[in-house]
Amino acid sequence: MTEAHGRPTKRNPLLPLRVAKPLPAARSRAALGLAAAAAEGQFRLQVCEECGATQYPPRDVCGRCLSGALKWRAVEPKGTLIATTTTRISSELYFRERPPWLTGLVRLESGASVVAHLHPECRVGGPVRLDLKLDPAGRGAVYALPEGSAVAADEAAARAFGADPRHRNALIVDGRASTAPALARAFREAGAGRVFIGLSERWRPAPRLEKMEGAEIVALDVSDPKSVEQLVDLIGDKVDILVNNCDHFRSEATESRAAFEIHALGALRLAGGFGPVMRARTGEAGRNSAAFVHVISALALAGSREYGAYAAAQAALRSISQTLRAESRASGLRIVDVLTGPLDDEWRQSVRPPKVAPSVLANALIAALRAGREEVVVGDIAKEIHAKWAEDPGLFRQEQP
Amino acid sequence: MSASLAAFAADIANGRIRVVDLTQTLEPDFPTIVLPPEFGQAAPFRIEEISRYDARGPAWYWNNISFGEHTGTHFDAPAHWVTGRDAPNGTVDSIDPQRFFAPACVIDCSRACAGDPDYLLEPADIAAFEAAHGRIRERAWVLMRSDWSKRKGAAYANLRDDGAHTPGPSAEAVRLLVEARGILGFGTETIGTDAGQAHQFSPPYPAHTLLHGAGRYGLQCLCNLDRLPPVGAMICAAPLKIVGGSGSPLRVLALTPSA
Repeated sequence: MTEAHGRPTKRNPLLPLRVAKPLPAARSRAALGLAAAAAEGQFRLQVCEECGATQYPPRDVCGRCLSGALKWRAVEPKGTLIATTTTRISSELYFRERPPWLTGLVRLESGASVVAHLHPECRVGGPVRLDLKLDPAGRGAVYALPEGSAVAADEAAARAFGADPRHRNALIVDGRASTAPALARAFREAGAGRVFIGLSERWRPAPRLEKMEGAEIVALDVSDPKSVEQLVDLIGDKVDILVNNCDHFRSEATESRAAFEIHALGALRLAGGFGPVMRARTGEAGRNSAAFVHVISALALAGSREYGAYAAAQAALRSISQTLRAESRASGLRIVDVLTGPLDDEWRQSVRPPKVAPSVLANALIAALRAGREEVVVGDIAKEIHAKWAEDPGLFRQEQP
Repeated sequence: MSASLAAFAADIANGRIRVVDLTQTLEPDFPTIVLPPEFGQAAPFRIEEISRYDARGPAWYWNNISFGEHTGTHFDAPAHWVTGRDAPNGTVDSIDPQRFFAPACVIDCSRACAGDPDYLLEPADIAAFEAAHGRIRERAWVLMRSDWSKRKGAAYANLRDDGAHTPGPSAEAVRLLVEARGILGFGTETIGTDAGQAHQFSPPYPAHTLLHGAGRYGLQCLCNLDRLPPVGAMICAAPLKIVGGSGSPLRVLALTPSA
């Protein structure tokens, strides 16, 4: 964790695969609030509604006044490092592979003390900035960086807690989608290894591919089970980050079957084909698999009168993503939902702005991968839909036109 | 058994009659017709395994398949086109099965098509064919050989910014074949019976408009036309019996005297 991470060395094929060593994942329901906040990139702790005390660790009643009225609230992610511990030998398999491991106790400005994983430059008595991360078991963990220092990010920690694209291979599933060139560029600029671009119906012209220098074009049609199987056979063990950016935005009723074929069944085929091999490679030394991304329209939450079949297929996709997350939790493979507003492309000419530029979506995804998030919401429309839905699903349902 | 059927059975058995398969393999990657996106699209061929001697079915192998009616080597019934909507027996389930067997005239345009993807079969080509091989008989299939079936993938679809560029018949040629010769149908090696740019013709899509308007049939995505004689082959083209169907993929077989 404390070593700088260069280009991964190639694996010795005669040695056994380094398998993922799962961290304990059992948590109380109360403690899952940490993971929920971490998944969205928020720093939240329980705060007592009665006496105002900030709680850590999460619990069912207030540690000060025994009230049960604890609510998850955004808390200022700043504090002072008051003690450190270096673990050199651990009984936990995950940490045995990564000594020494630094942890410490941070006193928050609100008074609570939290246990945090430490950046190596954190000093006792010094101010630290806190981030809630999903640990390799997919559970919430606090990570501390020295406040005000030049340290922007710790790449090793980012690899432990995130899915940094640097040196990792990416598969962008739909080379015909308007997001494909921007995603290819963003992964290249983020230092990705190989960037594969899936292309369906190779007999059709694909003008967008001309904008994707350096990417490797592979035959992939998610509506064709054989095509997915063949690509898994070909590059299944080379894909570290898979981005399912399939896009079939049509209003015509004739295309409703295609919407489900591509977004729902296609997602199942990708999850069934690439999921197992990606889950098996999360612990590999050097280049390992890290994330499986679904680009999902916010219409999945809102529905749509004009694009009903598309919205329904997006809702199915979100459900598939959630199932894949449950299947993958023990492996540490991160399942990321990019919830997006309408893209600014030729298929959505008649949709009113604000729309999402493909480059904005791509950059938001890269940031979410680096930070290890499970969900990122892109664009004003998606943010509004998501915020209202999250605040009160019942009210949100009534609000839909 | 009648004498002719007995002779036929013997000729098939001893190889004096050769069976030539004019059918492309049904596979997911085979190009389908592409309409502008505001129109409904034909589903491509798909195949999904049900079981293969495994837990899903220990002793048997089978697949679910799906496709549009106009996928792969396929038959167009009169009802496929608006001009043929009222043609009697215009759907595949109602066509008289006697029509599924007919002689073929193969007009070789392969040399011209090699140099010009927009090549059109004209009345002059038909006149030249008839000068060499005799008048085209009523209720014969006329097959336009372009050798287009030897192309693959993108070269076969040949899509450019202004649409597909593939050979086909001119409106005058179709009119002559339908009205003056009374053919059974017209067949091509390309994705449609019409040329790629036929939406610009007058009338648009003349093969579809005129053939189906007169209750005649179409065959497309044929192959192996280079293995047929100009005249003298018999075609067996029987579409699937789809209720109210406008066409269907099918196995097209030609019977030819062995050389």
